Amino acid sequence: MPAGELDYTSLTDQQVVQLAREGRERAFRELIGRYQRPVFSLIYRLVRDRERAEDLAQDTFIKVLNALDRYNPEYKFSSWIFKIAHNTALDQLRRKEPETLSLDGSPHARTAAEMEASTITPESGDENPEEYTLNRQLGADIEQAISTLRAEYRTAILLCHVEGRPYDEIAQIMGVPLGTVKTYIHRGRKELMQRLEHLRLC
Amino acid sequence: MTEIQHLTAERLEAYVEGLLDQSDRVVTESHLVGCARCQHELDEWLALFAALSDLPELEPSPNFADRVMAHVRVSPRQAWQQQAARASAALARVLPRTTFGWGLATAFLALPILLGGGLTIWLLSQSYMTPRSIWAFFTDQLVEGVRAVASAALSWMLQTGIAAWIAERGGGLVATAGASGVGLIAAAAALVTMLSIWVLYRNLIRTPSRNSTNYALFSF
Repeated sequence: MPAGELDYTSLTDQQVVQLAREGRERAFRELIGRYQRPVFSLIYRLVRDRERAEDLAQDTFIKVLNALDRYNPEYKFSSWIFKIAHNTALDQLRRKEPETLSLDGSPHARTAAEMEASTITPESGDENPEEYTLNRQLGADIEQAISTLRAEYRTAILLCHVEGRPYDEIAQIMGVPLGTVKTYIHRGRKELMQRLEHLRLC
Repeated sequence: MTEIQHLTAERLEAYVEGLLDQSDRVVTESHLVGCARCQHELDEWLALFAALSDLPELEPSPNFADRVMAHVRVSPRQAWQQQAARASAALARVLPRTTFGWGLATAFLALPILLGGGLTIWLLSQSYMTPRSIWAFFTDQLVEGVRAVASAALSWMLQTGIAAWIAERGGGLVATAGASGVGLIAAAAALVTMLSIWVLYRNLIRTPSRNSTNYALFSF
């Protein structure tokens, strides 16, 4: 990093938002960099179609970044962006019935090249080939089990376990009382236990 | 033979999440030591938690940021734009979001109008009531209300000593500027007040128009 240049990675979300409001493009890109994976993951696991998830994640960021003036810094930026992502995905789900999850690519893919191009890429890549295959299968089973949950349970479970958000923040994101979030997560976990039992994962 | 009381799924789930307090945790752990069934169930919960936390975050396709940035306004926001956006967001939070909400708000706002209108119609339907008498009744009530407020304000001023303070300062002013000087100041203040009222009237009540025909239509 050249001397005198601001290190965006060391700044809080609120500080980066303030810089974006001042018109610094780098700040916008920093926010995208911080949240593109969490937002895309949540939306993908809700709508279960890579192409649609890309479009919805893009819509989410466009809405958020063009409305930074309306962001209230008293609240967490993550809560705000997850709330918009969740609502955007739910709107889409209400309009169209969800399709079957495929970790091997979009169900719209017709050729091997399209299948490869639409395959989801996990973040971690430091496994040996055997572990990778095993984890990929394990992951696929869990992904499959999650995809059968109700959208509300799915969102709550993903925000809790994948994003590590506390219950009160999940309640804020989903716009439901804290008790409802606890119920969603508990019921979601119980359903997952039942679905994964036959796979001897649990 | 005593029946063994096994741990509930909720208790095991809370234990794995670390939500149990010290005493509950001790009781749970002592039960787990001697109960294979609950230990097995605990292992299932642990496996589920581990599997969920191992789920990877997924990566959108390359150039995602560029595609987003192509639709984002990067220009710096002026202070007034930020304030306007915040005001608009605050208004949006207050406004109803659903058709039912709008219906409820409209009904709430319409209620006094409907009640007032209904009362007026009922009063006018009475043989002994005329529009003039109703008007006289309401203006009398208004005047009485204003008098009551003025009287209360005056008595408050007398009690708190504000009236005495004004009289004292006024006396001092008369002593230094003379009666004619005070009269001059009062006349200037009255002139400024009248001018202010006129400006307010022209701008807020009777909006000036460049169109003379319209001006004539709205003049009274």
